[in-house]
Amino acid sequence: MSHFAHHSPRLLLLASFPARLAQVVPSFRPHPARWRATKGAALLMPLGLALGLLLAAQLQSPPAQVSQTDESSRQVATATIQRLEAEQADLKKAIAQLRTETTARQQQTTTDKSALSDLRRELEQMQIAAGVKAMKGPGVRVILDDSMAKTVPADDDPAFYLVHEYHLRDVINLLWRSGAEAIAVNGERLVGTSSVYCVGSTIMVNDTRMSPPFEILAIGNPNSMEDALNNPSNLRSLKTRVKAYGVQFKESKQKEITVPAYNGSMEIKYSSSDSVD
Amino acid sequence: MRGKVPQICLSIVAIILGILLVMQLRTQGRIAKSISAQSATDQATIISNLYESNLNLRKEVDRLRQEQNDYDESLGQSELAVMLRETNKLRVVTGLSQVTGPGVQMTISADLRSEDLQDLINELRNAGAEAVAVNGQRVIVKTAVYQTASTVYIDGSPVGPPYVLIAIGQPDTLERALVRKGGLVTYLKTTYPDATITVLKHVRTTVPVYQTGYQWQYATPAPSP
Repeated sequence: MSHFAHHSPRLLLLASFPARLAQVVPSFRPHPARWRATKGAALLMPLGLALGLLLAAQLQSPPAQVSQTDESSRQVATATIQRLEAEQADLKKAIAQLRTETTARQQQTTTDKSALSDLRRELEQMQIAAGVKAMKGPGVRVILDDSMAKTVPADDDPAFYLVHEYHLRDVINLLWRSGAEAIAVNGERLVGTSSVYCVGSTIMVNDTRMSPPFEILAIGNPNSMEDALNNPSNLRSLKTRVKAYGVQFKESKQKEITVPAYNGSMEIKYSSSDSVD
Repeated sequence: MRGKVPQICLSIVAIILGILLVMQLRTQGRIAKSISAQSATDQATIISNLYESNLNLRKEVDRLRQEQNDYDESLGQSELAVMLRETNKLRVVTGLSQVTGPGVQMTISADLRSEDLQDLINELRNAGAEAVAVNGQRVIVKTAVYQTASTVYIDGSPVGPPYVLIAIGQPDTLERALVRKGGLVTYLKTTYPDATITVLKHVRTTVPVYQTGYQWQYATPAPSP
């Protein structure tokens, strides 16, 4: 298809104009008698000139600009540009938003990281206090055992010859009192919920059955603990049994002992810890 | 007729001139518009540039999102939650926080010996008490109960009757442990016939924080053997 086919009707009119002009113009051929009297001649000259100029200008105008396919593809392109520009604006907004958030997060992370390490330190302190970490240090070692006596006189209560749970409790209580920092009985670390209990003739610590000899390891000042253990006004019941029935009670200072970590359950079901800050 | 011919010609020329003038102006306007707008090639260039630029912007958005994810992960939100839960649990066990929960309250109006208090604390612990206090003092793992002459001390503070023990745990279990046949209530009633002993179950009671805190002078953490 030629460009011509797409020209507007107005241009078609224009294209047919030169022929019409040719029909009109011959009637203006100079006839001196007629020209003399008309003022029209003076007007006609510039008009003709202007007409020619306009004609030339009109014919030189590039017709391609108004082609319909070009027009519609231009519209598509314009729409694409607008869409891409809108997308660009959105993306720039998103980036600005994310940059702000990232900066905030960087600061937050720094504070959170220090909070995390604070918490980690606090948790570790709490674990040490709770007894879920093994501890080492100087201290004392106490051995309690049933009497070595082979026979029990008929009028004696056999129970007098045995180590009882209250003996263990008395020794433990005394060790705490004289500054013990960590205690274990036969490898069972004592924690806040530990009990030293007796079921029938079996002693249980942390719900773990144990039998004599009982070895109590306590970390703390060896001298204060030993002094307390040897002080005659302490552990009177036990010491009476030791003297009268041969119940065994030995203690020794230790340069370094290790008290194991509590490894039983530490379930908290009923308590809620109130913040007291 | 003679005078009219030039006038008609003139009119026709003027009309045509007018038409052409208008057409020319319109065409000029359209051309001007086309020039001010982009040519097809220019539009293609603009589209390609925008496309390229948006691609890079999108990459930057992705990178920033990833960066934020990395921050969140490095922060270990879940780790933080676990640690907080564990710390709060241990605060209960160590006595380093005030504790609220169901439990029992036992009141004894008698001049108890330190062994009696020791036994009571032991009994409550054995019955699953999670937190215990005697006369407003939190009992912790190393709480020592002792007496000199007639004065009873808990962790160095003198205490006297009436003794009020509060334990947090399963109320029925705690109560049963105390009042069972051959239990401590029976024993104390026998030993102190004039004593008034009450055991009350509580839906909600409070045990205070252990004030002194833990000091470690001799013990240091050791690798578990």
